[in-house]
Amino acid sequence: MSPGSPGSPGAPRAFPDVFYYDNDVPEFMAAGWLADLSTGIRWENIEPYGKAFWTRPGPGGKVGTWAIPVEAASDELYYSKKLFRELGITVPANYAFTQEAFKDVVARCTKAGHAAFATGAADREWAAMYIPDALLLSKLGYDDSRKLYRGELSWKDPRVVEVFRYYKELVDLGAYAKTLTSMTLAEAHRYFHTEQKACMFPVGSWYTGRAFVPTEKGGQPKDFELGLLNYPLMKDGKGHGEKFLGVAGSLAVAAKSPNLPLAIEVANAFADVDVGNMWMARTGIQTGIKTDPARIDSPLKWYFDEFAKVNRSTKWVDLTAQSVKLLMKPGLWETYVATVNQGLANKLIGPDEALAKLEEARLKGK
Amino acid sequence: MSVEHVDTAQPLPRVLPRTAVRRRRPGRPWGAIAVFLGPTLLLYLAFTIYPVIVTFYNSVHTLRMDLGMVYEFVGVEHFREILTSDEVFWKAARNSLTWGLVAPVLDIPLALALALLLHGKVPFAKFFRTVWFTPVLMSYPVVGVIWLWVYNYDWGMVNLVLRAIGLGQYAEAWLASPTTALPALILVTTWMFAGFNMVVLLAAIHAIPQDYLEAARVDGARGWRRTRHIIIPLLRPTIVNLAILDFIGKMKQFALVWVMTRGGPMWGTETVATYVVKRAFEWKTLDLGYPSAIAVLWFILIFGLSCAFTRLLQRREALEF
Repeated sequence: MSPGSPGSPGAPRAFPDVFYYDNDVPEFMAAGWLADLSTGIRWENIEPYGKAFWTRPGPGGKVGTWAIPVEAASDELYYSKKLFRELGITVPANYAFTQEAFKDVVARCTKAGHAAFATGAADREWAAMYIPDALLLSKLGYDDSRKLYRGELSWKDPRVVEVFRYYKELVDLGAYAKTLTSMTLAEAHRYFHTEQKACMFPVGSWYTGRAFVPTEKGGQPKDFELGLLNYPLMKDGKGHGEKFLGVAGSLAVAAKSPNLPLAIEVANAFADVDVGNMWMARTGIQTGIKTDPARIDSPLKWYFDEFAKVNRSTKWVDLTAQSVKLLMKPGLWETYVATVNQGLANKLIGPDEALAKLEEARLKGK
Repeated sequence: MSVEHVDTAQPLPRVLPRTAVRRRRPGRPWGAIAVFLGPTLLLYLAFTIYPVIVTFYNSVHTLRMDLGMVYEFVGVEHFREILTSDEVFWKAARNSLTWGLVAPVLDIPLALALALLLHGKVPFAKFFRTVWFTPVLMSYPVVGVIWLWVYNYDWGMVNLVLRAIGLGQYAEAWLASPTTALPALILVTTWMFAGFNMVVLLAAIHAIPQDYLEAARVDGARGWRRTRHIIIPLLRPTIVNLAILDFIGKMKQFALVWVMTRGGPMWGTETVATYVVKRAFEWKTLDLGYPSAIAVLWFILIFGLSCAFTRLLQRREALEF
């Protein structure tokens, strides 16, 4: 326990009372460093999935609600309308290609000298997981996907094997750039919208945070034609129409804050529809705070309209490529990173070898 | 009888025990010693000895978050698990050992060659000495970023050169395959430390008495023969020390890997140090027990191998001149 950690001696001086709390440090909850916000917050202004995400066992197994979900993000599949047009690719009415049609899309992109996906895994351990995670969701559906990640379903389940083998076909078509391993997330953005070397960009809906800034700051060019797709539909899948949406950056309160009631009051100020509206208008990213779309005045309205059109019948399910690790045991996650983010995507191993390693990690239970 | 009356070169008479003489020596200036050594000792205790003790303590305990952040004694359980069922540890150990053994073999001869060139007064020697030494002055993150660019598949220097000379078919994503990633990183450290080793060896060459070299010249030994039979043997203690330092440094390699590959792909560049950090801070358990056990094991191995190499390589004699 570091002297600056929220639960340690002297923490009130060393640690802020209210602080940004991301979803990838769940150990703070179990360690008892976060105040239980079950009361004192206007939860009626928070989306139910956001509250549900942060409601879980804390120290000693006591269930509490540990943070206010400010940022939320869904796993999206952006595409370049211009490249699709040039390659003669027509987007289906439901914005989701079938399994076979999607393979054809990938093949057309790679034959034309483009990567299918602008993915850079150099500085993100989950960057190349969007496609396989989405394919698993489409095939298994939400419940079984969660079981798989939690280690309650075998990686040798025939449906999982089918997904991995299909995914390998996409990889073998040249879906990822050769620079996958050395490309960073920031470079992947440029690769997609500025250099236009890839047809699609599977990434969180926080794409907007980097893309909708001036071009001199790395934003997408003004004439770039951004489109959105839904992920491909696996044959006989149970999760058609489902898409991952998860809580991201949130607000928490230090459990040992000397100003606990005041800190909770400050945090409560964020549980407000106006704050939600302001967040959406300025970032273009979803929020776990409730919003009133009619009152959102933003230059990004065109994007909101496009987003709403593509996701009009989406059934949101609580998970993202980034937060899959929260469901997995650490050892399984490490193997998932090595096999899926690195091995499969780089053509270093085949689907069967990847699945064997994952199953071995699952059975070890670590 | 005063101390100055005692001839300490002669055996003392039995009536005057040695302890009596000692008592009469001027007392040590304990106050000054405390003032000068105290702060350093304090820092050493706080930042070296204490962490080492805590690491050893942690290595036989585990943190039970479910029992309210209590450390539980588990004996040698962590060590048993590491040695019997942790595949990643063994991969990391193999990579670290490979690095530790290969790097000195590359670094020292290269540094020696550069030092001999400078000693031989090649044109622009001062310029080259500065150029070759400069990488040592850069931090690992900077070096890592530079070499990420060098190894980039699309526009990295290595592949640009290969394509320019018609060997484009050999262009690779050098950091994307376990077979090329570790050699690529080893090459970076060779580039980085050749200059440091060169400077040390150059100083050692300059310290060789001119008489030896002159005598060799009179006896007809010039060029390579003089280097092989006079200079290199006289440099042996320096070379051995550099090799052992190089070995120890590479066995602890962390920063460069963290910046360039984070141990990937597929654990191909995982080192014990990166694995310890992952287990300590990325496994979301707050438990430092298991990673501490790895650190303890690795400390013992490095210490043992360093002692063994020292005895093995310096067994002949300490050349003095």
